[in-house]
Amino acid sequence: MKLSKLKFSSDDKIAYTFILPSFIIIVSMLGYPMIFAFNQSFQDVTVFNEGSYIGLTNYINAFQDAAFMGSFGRSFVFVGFSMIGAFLIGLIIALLLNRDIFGRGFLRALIILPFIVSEVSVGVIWQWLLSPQLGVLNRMLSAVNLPTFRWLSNPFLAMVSIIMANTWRLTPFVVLILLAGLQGIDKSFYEAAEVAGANHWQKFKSITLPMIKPMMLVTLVYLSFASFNQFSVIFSLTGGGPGNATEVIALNMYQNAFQHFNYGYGSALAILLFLLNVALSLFYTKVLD
Amino acid sequence: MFKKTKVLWVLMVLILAFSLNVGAETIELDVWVVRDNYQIDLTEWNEANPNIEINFEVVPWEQALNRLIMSASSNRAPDVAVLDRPWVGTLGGLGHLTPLDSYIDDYYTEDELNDYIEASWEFAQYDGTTYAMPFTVFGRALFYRADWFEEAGLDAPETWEDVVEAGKVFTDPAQDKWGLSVRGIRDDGTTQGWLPIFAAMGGEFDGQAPQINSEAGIKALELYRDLVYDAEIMSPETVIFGSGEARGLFLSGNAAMAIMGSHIAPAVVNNGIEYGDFKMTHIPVPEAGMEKRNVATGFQWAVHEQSEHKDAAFEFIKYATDTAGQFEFNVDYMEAVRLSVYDIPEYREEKPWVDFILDDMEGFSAIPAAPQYSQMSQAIQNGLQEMLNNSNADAEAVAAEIQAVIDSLF
Repeated sequence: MKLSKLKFSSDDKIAYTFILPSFIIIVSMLGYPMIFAFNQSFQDVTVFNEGSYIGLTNYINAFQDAAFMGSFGRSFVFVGFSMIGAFLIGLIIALLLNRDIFGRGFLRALIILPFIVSEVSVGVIWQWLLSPQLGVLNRMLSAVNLPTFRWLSNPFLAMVSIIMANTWRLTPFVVLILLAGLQGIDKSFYEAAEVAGANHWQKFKSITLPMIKPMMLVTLVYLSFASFNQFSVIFSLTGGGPGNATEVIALNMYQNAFQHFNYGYGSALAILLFLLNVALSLFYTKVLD
Repeated sequence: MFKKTKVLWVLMVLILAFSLNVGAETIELDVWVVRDNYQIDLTEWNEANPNIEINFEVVPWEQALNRLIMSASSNRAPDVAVLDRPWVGTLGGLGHLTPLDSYIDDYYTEDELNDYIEASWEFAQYDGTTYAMPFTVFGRALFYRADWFEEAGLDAPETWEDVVEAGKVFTDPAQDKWGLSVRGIRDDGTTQGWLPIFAAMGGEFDGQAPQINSEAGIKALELYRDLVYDAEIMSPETVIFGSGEARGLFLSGNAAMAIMGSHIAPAVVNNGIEYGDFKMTHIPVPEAGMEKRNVATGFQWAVHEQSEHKDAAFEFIKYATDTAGQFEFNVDYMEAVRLSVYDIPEYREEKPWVDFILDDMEGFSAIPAAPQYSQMSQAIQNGLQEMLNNSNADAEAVAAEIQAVIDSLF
């Protein structure tokens, strides 16, 4: 349809008038930097070099860069386990808080705390929790005569640690969204299912899950890109170490752009991360639809 | 007639004075500092320079270099900035700093220049040009619990063998007590803490590039691994020790020795350990009697190339770096670069370790200040993480790997 043939009602015009300021702000605040980064990703801009166009060289270099490819693999491990953890724990908590339990309002307010704490603080809190001698976790383990662990200095456990911290931070978001979905389900569906003799699992599988599918989609998309873009929690908790054990894409990108001042290459990594997020969002939409 | 002329003269003088006053433009200097305490007292400055207003802004150390670079790209750079030593190379190499050699010649007498500790000039230079005025320095030193050593009948450690021998006396992993504590986390502070050890081992620099793939480099890498896994006098957690953890062990009485910046000494005293109960000594050497060497860093004041008030900016720097300014800043933080500060009795009283500092400064060389510093530092950090976290780490292979990165940068 040609734009000139589009007919706008007076309500449409009012609506677009109200949307316009926000649209302009979003385009200028988000659109411009994105276009700038996209353009820069095709140049060899460094702090010492104004840059010239080099085609796809930055992108080709990224796939030949062992450090980036390593961080790419680690990102999938980090994101995958964070998503599974946050989603399952969040779903269980949402189901519990949807029941008529004592102190439900207080618990709902309490559960949101990790999400409103700044990401750097999350890193620092978990650093204290996981500290080898003074940390709460090791003290609890030794109190019940279990072995203690080098949570942050062992490469495998360091990855486990950042996944735990990220899961802790993201779970409240899952709870909030899924709880909103659960509360929107008409009780008559469950009553009808009970009359028909359905058990708890059957009600959950046939009523709850399909009804909260749109919320699950929102949750998965958010968990995915929030985890892929995660920087502050990891940076303040492990700094990407020990060695490169917890260096994910966002940290690798930061190092290249802001520590090595390789802006062109850093922009290419940012665009790759953006494309990855878009592709995964489309994938989740396709699967859940 | 005489009266009229007199009145006219008075009027003319008044008009002239008024017009001069109106014409006197107020200059505003934006001054970026990396910590609160760089905001020195401006009372005398304001009295002497009523038309030059100083606007301090604290830009934290972690963000300062990036913000300086970004601000220059949008022509919003400050007039004056406090720079860490490695940034002199990065910003000097970018052409963002005003060369100060001619200013120094014009504004300082020979006596004033002779008041500066010779080694301090190196911290403010890059590629033969002076881009900043030295202000404060600090080197790493081996802190040790002199009271514990005396009780155990041990002498002050001079060699690494002494450190290991003493370390074993005080180490008790079950109680989280360690002979030695150093920083090991993956950050630039770890590189800055290890380079003095590399230098004291006999390590050399080719210009700004450390020659890690050398006998000294390999030995210095092996040392970190062996202190954790062979001598077992350092915590296996060293690989995640930042500044807080490394110094925390010493301050809490859980480490007998620590390699830290000399600027930590006041914090040790404030923590209740008197100087005398702890002491500082030079970075240990492989064999007794070897020359003491240290790789130090420092902060300096620079005038940005984009400043439209360079003369006023340099005037301010001269004020900030005079003896009074240095005393005010250095009396409880880092070390002064002007000899006259060390003659102030109050300074010596507050810092009873100044003779050690002056002696140690004789072995100072400045940490590299090259535009490639960040990549170089990261290569060293990665190597040190490998040595600290792998009991079987091959120092020769790690040294070769670090050197390959460094050689590709220079």
